[in-house]
Amino acid sequence: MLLAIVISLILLALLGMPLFIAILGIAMAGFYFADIDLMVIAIDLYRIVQTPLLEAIPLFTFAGYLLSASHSSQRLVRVTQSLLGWLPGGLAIVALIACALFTAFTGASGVTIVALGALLYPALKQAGYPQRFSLGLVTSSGSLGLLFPPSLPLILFGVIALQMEMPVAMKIEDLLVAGLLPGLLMIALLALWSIWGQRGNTPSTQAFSLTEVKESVKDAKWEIPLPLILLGGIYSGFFALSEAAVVTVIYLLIVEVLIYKDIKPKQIPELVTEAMVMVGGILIILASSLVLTSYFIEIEAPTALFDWVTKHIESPLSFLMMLNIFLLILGAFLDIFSAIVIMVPLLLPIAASFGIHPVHLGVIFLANMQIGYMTPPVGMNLFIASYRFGKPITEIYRSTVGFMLILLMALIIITYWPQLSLVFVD
Amino acid sequence: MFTTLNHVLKSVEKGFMTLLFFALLSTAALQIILRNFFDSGLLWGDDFIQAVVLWIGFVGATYASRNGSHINVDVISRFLPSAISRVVYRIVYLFTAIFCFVAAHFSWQFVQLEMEDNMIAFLNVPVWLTEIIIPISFVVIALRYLLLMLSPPAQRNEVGDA
Repeated sequence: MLLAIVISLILLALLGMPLFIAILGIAMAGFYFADIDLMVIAIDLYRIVQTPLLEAIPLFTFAGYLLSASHSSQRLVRVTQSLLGWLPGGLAIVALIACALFTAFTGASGVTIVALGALLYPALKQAGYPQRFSLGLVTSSGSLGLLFPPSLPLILFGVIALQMEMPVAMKIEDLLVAGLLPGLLMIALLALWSIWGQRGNTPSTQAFSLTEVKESVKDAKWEIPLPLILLGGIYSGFFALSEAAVVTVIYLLIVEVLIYKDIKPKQIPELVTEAMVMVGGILIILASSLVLTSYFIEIEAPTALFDWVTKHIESPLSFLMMLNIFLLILGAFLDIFSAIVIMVPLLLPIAASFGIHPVHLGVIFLANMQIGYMTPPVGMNLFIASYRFGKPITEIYRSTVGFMLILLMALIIITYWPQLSLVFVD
Repeated sequence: MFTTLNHVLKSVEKGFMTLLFFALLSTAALQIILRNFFDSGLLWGDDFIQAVVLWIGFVGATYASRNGSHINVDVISRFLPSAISRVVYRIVYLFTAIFCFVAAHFSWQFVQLEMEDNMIAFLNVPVWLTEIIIPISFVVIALRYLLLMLSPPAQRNEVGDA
């Protein structure tokens, strides 16, 4: 009976049932058949208030919405273009870097494709890049930058990992820097691929002009310091992450509303609402998964899974390989936030037993999820790009194949070369 | 009549979320200033922030159920003809509503139990008052999915999904 309910709920979830209620439903059915009073679900839902750093989630989400609603995407592209546009394949590199920076702040909610893709796609075509290449580039850049702080999935991973008991101590600051080199590796490989892919075709570049550099930097002078304040502040230990979140929001409110006047004060309630609806969507899944995790612990599922995995998989190498395959499939179907809240509590202890550092696991996890965004048939970026650029989804599939192979190559390097992620961890 | 009520409710929810968000932002900012420059802090500040984040989460989730834009997987119905997918959505939304009612029922029982305890969360606010948003949200979400069941959306919007 329990099995039948669980299977029906999974089926309903695949048909579009909100994930939070599918998760909660499975937990409720489980508790019911284990003869446990269902009032316990409220206790577990309420446990969300004890989650460390939780307030950073609404704050950084709102910061992302402020940036998306302002003209910062245009200023960002202009500065990057003036600095790097003269390189061979310059505009493609500009696109990669601008998208990665924008995604780090706005989360991979598809807004990068909507806001930056709309600027970059026509520009790429105009500069002489083939249509298929341009389409693939903007689609796959939509989730690039997830590994850079303060990306929301990165913070969520830290929030979940921090509340678990772990044999290895992990600091949130370590996790925030861990993605820097792996993220840069992805950008570098994609940039090389873009340059190599254009041999025989010379798309136009923008001549380097010191005046344009000065002009564009002057135009964006209020936004350029933000990553520096934020990252510098966190890594120097000057602010804690939650303090950095408050500083970021207040700084952006001043800059976008009062200085640039891109956002009118009366737009703020609408923006807060949009951001908080997204936060609500994430937090209710987090709360529901706390209930499910507590049911799993009740039936000793983590121990059983742990025993099964350690019995069937012997070396850390084969564990990592299985992990990548599993996460790639998961990432193609499940959104990144649900995947993190459900899987991290189960995976962390197993990974730790294979000697995988939690910070390295976080980087691997997010790198897989990033690729999941563009995995056919249902990766979210594919649909957003199809909708945004008015192209059939099959054309989008074809355009992203090359980029996906490059990212898979980067994933293999990231997975089997832990020092790349752990170089800053002492 | 119904649309006017819905309109009013929408503005109330928006206003409330904005209020909660700025309450969070200003309390957190005040705590930072007090901690770093005056070496002190509000005793109730951190508990207040936790409760506000809980409320933001549940009020936001309730708002998301207005148009069924909760995070979902939705692998199959995207590829179904719209006549069939409407039927599928009706079934999915019915079960969503049922499970939300069940969750509302049991979390309300829990809140009643907490009312007897009457513990204090922060200042003079009792714990049960901070928890009451849980059953309220589940009831409203359940009702909204019942409404969506009666008139399922014709097309999914891609960007708003996440």
